[in-house]
Amino acid sequence: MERSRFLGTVEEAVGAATLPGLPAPHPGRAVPDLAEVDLTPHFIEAFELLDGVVHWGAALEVITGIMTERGTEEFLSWDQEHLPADGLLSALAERGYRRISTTLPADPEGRVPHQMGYMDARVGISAAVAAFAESGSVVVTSGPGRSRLASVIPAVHVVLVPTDRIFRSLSHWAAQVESPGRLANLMVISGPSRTGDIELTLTRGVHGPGEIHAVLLQ
Amino acid sequence: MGQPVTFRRRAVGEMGTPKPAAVGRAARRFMGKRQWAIDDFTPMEETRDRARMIRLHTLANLHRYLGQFADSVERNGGTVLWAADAAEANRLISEVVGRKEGSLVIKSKSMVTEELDLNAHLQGDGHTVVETDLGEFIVQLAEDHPSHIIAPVMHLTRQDIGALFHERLEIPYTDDPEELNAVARRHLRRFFLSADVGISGVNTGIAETGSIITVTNEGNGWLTTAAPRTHIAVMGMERLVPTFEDAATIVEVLARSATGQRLSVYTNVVSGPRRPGDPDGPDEFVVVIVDNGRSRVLSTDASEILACIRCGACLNVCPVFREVGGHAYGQVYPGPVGSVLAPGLADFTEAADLPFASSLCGACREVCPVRIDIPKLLVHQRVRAIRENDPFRWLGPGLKLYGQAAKRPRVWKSLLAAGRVAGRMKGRDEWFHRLPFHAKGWTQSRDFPAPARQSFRQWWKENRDGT
Amino acid sequence: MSQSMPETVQLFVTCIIDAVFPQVGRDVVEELERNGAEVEFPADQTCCGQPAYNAGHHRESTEVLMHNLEVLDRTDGTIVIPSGSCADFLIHHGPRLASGDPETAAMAERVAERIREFTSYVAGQREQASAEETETGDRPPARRAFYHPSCHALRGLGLRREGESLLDSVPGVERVEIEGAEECCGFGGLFAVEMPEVSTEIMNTKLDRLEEAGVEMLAGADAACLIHLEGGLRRRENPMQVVHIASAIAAGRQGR
Ligand code: SF4
Repeated sequence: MERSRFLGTVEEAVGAATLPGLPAPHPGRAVPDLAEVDLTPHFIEAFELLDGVVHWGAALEVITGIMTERGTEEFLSWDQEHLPADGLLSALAERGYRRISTTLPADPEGRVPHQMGYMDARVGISAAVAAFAESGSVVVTSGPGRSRLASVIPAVHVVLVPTDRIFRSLSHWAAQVESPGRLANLMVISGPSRTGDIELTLTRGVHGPGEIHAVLLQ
Repeated sequence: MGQPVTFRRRAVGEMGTPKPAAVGRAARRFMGKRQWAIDDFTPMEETRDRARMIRLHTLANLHRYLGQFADSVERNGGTVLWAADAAEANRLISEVVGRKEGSLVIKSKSMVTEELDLNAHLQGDGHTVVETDLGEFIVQLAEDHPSHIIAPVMHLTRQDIGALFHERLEIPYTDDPEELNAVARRHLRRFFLSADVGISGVNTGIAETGSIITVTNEGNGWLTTAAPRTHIAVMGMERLVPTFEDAATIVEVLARSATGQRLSVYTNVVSGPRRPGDPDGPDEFVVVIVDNGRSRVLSTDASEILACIRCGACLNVCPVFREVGGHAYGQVYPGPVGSVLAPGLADFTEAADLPFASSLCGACREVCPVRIDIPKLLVHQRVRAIRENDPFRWLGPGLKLYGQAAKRPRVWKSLLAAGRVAGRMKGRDEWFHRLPFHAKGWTQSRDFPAPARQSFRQWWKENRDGT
Repeated sequence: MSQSMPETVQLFVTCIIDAVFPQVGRDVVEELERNGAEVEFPADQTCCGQPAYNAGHHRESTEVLMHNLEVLDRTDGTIVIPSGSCADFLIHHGPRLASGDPETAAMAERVAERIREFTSYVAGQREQASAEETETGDRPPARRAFYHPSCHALRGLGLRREGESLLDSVPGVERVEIEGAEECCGFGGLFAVEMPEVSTEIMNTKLDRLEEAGVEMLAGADAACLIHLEGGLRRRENPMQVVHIASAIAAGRQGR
């Protein structure tokens, strides 16, 4: 249907609508002003409540530890320039770990064969552009050098979190973030993948990572 | 006698099976988990008020925000398609999917595509459609329908699901949720990575940024929108807010109300296809905006129901839903929200009895995160049902008589007197075991008291009135 | 009890109590008088109009409502209604239904402002008088009693504690909780005959829980819910006593 006809019908319906509180003003931009608190402990508590694992610094040791435990030598990752841990990828390479490329080939037909190469990826590395103390969430985005699938495909997600990126809540961050539509994808992750579909019994790792590790960096 | 009372008949059928017991248990457990922690940075009542205002404001300006949304999507490099009804939506989606023969389509949970019966349509066109939400995947395997808007297999036990997986996926029987989950993960993985098209619903669209949000706990919503070459987002036209900040409020309220989480595990904000330089993501992003009866609902006195954010809480608290389960409603949207919405979306007369499937106990109104006065809307829909296709035509004459009598005290008194006479003739022990005609519905399971020999007003007149 | 000037109270007794449970009405009058009220009964009252409203028959409902608003508007003082549901209807729906023209709207508002549900009124009076009934003499062995906070009192008027405190003051009663205490009993007005099987299923859930908790006495402030539950209990041949809270108070005092 034509856009104009569709919207014409909607406009007519809006005219006849019986909504309470008309003219229904927008509530405005109201995020409560709260006293300064150190948000890091709040974030840690909330993140752990979701069964996330928190580490301080030492990203390399954390990641090699997980790789050993998972018996894998391959990983998916963002490019080094988007990871706030200098020299992390080269150090991993030196230790013999192999990064699976997350850049799709130019030929569209190459997408599926390329992606099938992630089938057995067990560890993915990315970084948080923001984190939320209230909900224990981390935010990852798409962009050059920043693969989406690196954070969602592997069984374990390791996310580097600079503590100065911790905000109170999604709302508080949303109130100040600039043009969030600029990036094709923005993902707020709150804990490991889970489902309660079978008798509301909580099980982890149904499609996304069953384990999430936050490496806090000061 | 009126039309066949289909909800009632379906409900009786469902109540004869073990399903409602599973639903009742699950719904109560759901409500047990629902909480709003006091140490949150998100104050509960204010945030609910805010969410309500955002939704009502959007509806009151819907045409403008839809226009802005479409402009923003296009600015981001996406395409917007407009569908007046289910047939048009299916045709448009088919056209996008069908550029390649026999496409593999993965879907993340979407109620609006249930409304369209999209899967059947795409399969009819020769495509393979795989539901990826665990619950929807189970529904698809069982060739069943979802019974709850956020917990599609609330009506099934783990044993049911174990047997189903055993039979359909040819694995050894297990009813351990962990193992069943692992089976589904393995099974669905290759579909995620190799699908041609991902179809998602839209939990919230954002007018200013042209973004769509999907919320999932499993991660299938993210995979569906990130891995295939084409992402089609199917959006009910009312599922919009003005800004990203507004959307933040909505998803914060939604997660708390739906499952007692502060946020769902994956709040996925998609704003168009992959940008130049992005290593992955879809090349093509299409939003299909669906009316399918919504503008009709908006123009009636049930408009407020379109403020719904689909949290499912009103289902979980509803005493009727808890006893009959989702399937008794015979509609995509069951429970209190569905009983208002469904008759409006569908041909009204088809679902005209649904608004009556409520005791008007008000639990839904109390729990609704955006404070929709659902009982009031149910009553509005009842009025309309009576006008258009009264499912309880037999009540009409009685209520006419009541109306005539109860506005004339004299007539009222004689009516009461007549009742007393009838009572004295029939009532042996002051309670009836059987009532005639339609009142026998009452005495199927309950005795009914006979009128007293002396009414209160007679007693007052004889004993207390000065005159 | 009260030392101050007697307050005039208009009793809107409700159609069910009037026709089926006049004794409840007499107990209500007695309790109001004990709390220092001078009770009047506007003789032309009939029914609030809610049955037709809920069933979707708004013309009938509004006519009945208007008649009763007029009757009540001609009187003075607090209007006490021994039913949460009827009180909720007159307070919250009356003004909306009567909003057709400004005069009737104003009348509906005036009446609504004067209305108090019975338990809320009595609990308030007792609090003011701060003279809780203290019982002396032999206490009969305590019976397990549950106060059913009917939906419209609970969710419409925000009342529950009030009725419970009245039940607590009745000698020989031990108030107990049941699972899902605030869940609907399944009555729902004409719903009970329009969808009898569903109504019954909800009722059975409630009755099962009352039985599980070993409740011997079921008290409430909505006669309609109580009829429905007692009707079901009778079929189960369960001898649980079902009483309106006003009668529970009166019985407690008279040792009946
Ligand atoms: S009507 Fe309210 S409670 Fe029901 S699903 Fe919608 S938002 Fe949730």
